[in-house]
Amino acid sequence: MRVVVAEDLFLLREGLVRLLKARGFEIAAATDSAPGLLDALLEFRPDLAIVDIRLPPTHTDDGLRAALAARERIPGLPILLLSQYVEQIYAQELLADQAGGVGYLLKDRVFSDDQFVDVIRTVAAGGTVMDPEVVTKLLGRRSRGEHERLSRLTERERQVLELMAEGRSNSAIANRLFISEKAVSKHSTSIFTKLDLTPSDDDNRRVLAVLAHLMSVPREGRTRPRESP
Amino acid sequence: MWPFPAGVTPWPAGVLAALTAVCAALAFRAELARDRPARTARPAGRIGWPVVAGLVGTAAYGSVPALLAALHNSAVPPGYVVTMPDLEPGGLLPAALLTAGLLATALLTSAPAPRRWVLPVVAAVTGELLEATYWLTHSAAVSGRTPLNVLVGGVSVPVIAALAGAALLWPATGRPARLAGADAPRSARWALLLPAVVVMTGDLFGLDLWQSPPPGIGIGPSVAGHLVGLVLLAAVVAGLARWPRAAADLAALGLVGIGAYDVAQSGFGQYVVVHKIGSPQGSAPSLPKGLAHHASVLGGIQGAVVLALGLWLLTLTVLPDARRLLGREPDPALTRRVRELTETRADAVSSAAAELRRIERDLHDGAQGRLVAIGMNLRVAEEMIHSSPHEAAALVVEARVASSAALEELRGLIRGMHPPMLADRGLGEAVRALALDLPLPCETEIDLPERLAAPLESACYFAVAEVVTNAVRHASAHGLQIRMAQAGGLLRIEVVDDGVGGADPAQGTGLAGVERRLAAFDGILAVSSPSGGPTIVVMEVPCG
Repeated sequence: MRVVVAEDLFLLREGLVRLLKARGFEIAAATDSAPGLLDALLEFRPDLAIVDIRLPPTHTDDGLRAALAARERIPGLPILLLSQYVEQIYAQELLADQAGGVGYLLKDRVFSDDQFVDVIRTVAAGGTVMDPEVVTKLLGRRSRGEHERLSRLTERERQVLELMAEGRSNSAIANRLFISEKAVSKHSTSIFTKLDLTPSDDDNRRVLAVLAHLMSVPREGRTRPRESP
Repeated sequence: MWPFPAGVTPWPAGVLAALTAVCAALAFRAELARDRPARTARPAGRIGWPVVAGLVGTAAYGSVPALLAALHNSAVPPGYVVTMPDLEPGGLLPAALLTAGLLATALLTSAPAPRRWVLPVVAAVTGELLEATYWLTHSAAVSGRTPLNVLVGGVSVPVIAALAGAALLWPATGRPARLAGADAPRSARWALLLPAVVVMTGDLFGLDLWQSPPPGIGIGPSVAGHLVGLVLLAAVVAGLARWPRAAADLAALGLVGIGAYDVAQSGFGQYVVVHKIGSPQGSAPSLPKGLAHHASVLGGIQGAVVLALGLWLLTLTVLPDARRLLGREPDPALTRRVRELTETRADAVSSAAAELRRIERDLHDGAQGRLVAIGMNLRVAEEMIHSSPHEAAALVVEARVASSAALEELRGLIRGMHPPMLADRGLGEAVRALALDLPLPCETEIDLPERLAAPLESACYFAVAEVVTNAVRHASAHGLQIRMAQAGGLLRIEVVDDGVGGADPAQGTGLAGVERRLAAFDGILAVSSPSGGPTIVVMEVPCG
C-alpha cells in the first residue's frame, strides 16, 4: 500500500515513516508542508495520505485544507488526519462529503501501532475512523431532544454506539466488549431503531450514518453561515 | 420695523448677535469634540442660596416697572409704542424660568436626573400661566390686545405642558445621561438655565414671542411669532437632552449678552422709549418722569446682576475649555487617559506575570514531572532488559502511558494559553468550537468579516470563555446564546443564558477579571442579571 506522509516535525515524520515501512507500507512521499502535500497527492495518487493538520506555510490548518483540496480533485482519496488536538469543526469538515475514507486521530494514538495500523487499513479501504475523543465530545453535547433520545439507549448500547462511531467493525466491537458478534449486531439494530436511523449491514455506511446523525442533530447550536466578504 | 422694536440701539445689538453666534459655534464645536473633558465639580457646590435669593429679588424687582410700563401702555394712543427691553410682561416668563432653573440647581442636586427636570418644566408652565393670566386680566385695558392674542397665550399653555411631558419622559430612558457621559447630570443642571436665556435673548432682539403687534399690522405675525417660539422651545428641550454642555455654555454666554445689553441700554438712558409707528394720531404720550428714570436704574441693576452671573458661569463653562484649547492647562481628558492607561497597563503586566507563574507551576507539577518519571522508567528498563525482559516491558508500557498523560496535560495547558482553533481560524471559529464543546445547547450568531489583531482575539476569546463557564457552572442554565458582531469599529459580544441570574461583577473574581482583561483594550463589560434570570452579559471592545 502506497502512503504519503505530511508532517513538519522531522522526528515525528521519520518515526512515522519508519513505523510504516516496518509494517510493510510503501512510502510514496514524505513532505513537510501543505503545498508539498498537495503536489505529492496529485502526482502519486497514493492509497492513503497521513496528514498533520497544522503545517507550514501558515502553521494553522493548512494540512486539512490541502488534504480537502486534493480530495476534491481525487474523489474518495483516503485521508487520515493527525493532530495534537481534536476539534469537532474539523471533524465536520472532514466528514462533509459523506464519502468515507477519512480518519481523524490524536497523534498519541500512533503509540499503539497495532491499532494505528488497523486504522490505516480501515481508512484506506474507504472506512471512517474518529478519535474516541471526538466521539466523546459528540455524545456529550447537545440539544434537549437529542439528549433524550440518547438517554433511551442502555449503557451497553451506548458503549457499542461509541465504538461504532469511532469506526470499528462489528467483530472489533465484539472483541473489545467481550461479547459475541451476534450480540453486537443485535445492539446495533436496537440503537438504529431508537435513533430513527435506517440500519445498514455495511460497516462504513453504518459509521457514517451514526456520525452524521450525531453531528447533524438539529441543535440549538448552529452557526449562521458567514457571508463571504 | 416690527417685530424688531425700533428702540434697540443698533450697535450693541449687532455686537451681541455676533458674539453670541461666535460663542455658540465654539461651544458646539467643543461639545462635538471626542472625549471632551469633564468639567470640574466646583460649580454645583458653590451655587447656593445667596445667588438664588439675589436672582429672585432681581426678577421680582424688575417685574414692578414692567407692570407699571404695561399699565401705562393703556394711555398710549394708536401709532405710538412704548418699549422696554426685557422688562415687558414677557420678562416675567424668563424671570420665572431663571429662578426655577437656579432653584432646581441649588435644591435638587441629589435628585435623579429625570426628577430634576420637573422644576424647570413646571416653571415654564407657570411662566406661561402668568403670561396668559396677565393677558386675560389686561386685555380690555391694553391697546392692541385682542381676544385672539389671549387665545394664543392660553393655547400655548397645554402645548408647553405637552412639551414638558415629553421632556420628562425622554430623560427617563437614560439617553441624555449616556450621551453626555458621566458628567451629564452636572451639565444638565447648567443647561436648565437655557430656556430663560433663549426667551430673554428673544426679548433682546424684539422677538418677544408673546408680544402683540402694533395697531394696523394684524395678528398674523403675532401667531407666526408664537409658533416660532414653540419651535424654539422644542429645540431647547432637545438641546438640553442632547448637548447639555453646549446648552450650559450657551446659557452662560446668553446671560453675559443680556446683562451687557441691559447695562448698555440703561447707560444710554434709553431704557424706556416711545416710538412712532405708522401715522400717529394725537400727540406723543408723555411718560411719567419717574417711570423712565426708575426703569432705567432698575434695568441697569438687573443687567449688572445678570452680567455678573453670566461672567461667573463663563469662568466655569467656556473659559476652561478655552484655556485648554490655548494649551494653558493640561487637558483633563488626557490626564484621565494617562491614568487609565497606567492602571490597565499595570493590570495587564501583572496578569501576564500571574499567567506565566501558573503555566510554570502546571508544567512543573505535570508534564515535567511525568517526563522525569518516564526517563527513570526507561533507564531502569534499559538495565533490566536482559536480566528480566518481562518487567522491563512492563516499565516501558508504564512509560508510554505516562507519556500519553503528559501529552494530555500539555494539550489542556495549551488550550488554556492559546486555543489551537483561535490560532488556526480566529475568534469566530474558536468561539464556535467552544460552543460545540459545551455540555449545554449553545446558539451562536457570529458575524466577523475579518480576523482581528491577535492579542484582541485572545482577550475576547478568554472573556467569552470565562462568561460561558460562569453560566455553565453557576447559572443552572439550560441554554446559551452567543452573539458576536463587528460594526462601526466596535466588536460587540453578547452572551445570554436562561439560568437563575444574580451574577454580580462586584462579587467573585470571574466577571471582574473579564472586565480587567477587556479594559486593557479599552473594552467594557455590562451585566444584567436579575434574580430569576436571564443573565445578559454584553462586552464591547474597539477594534480596527
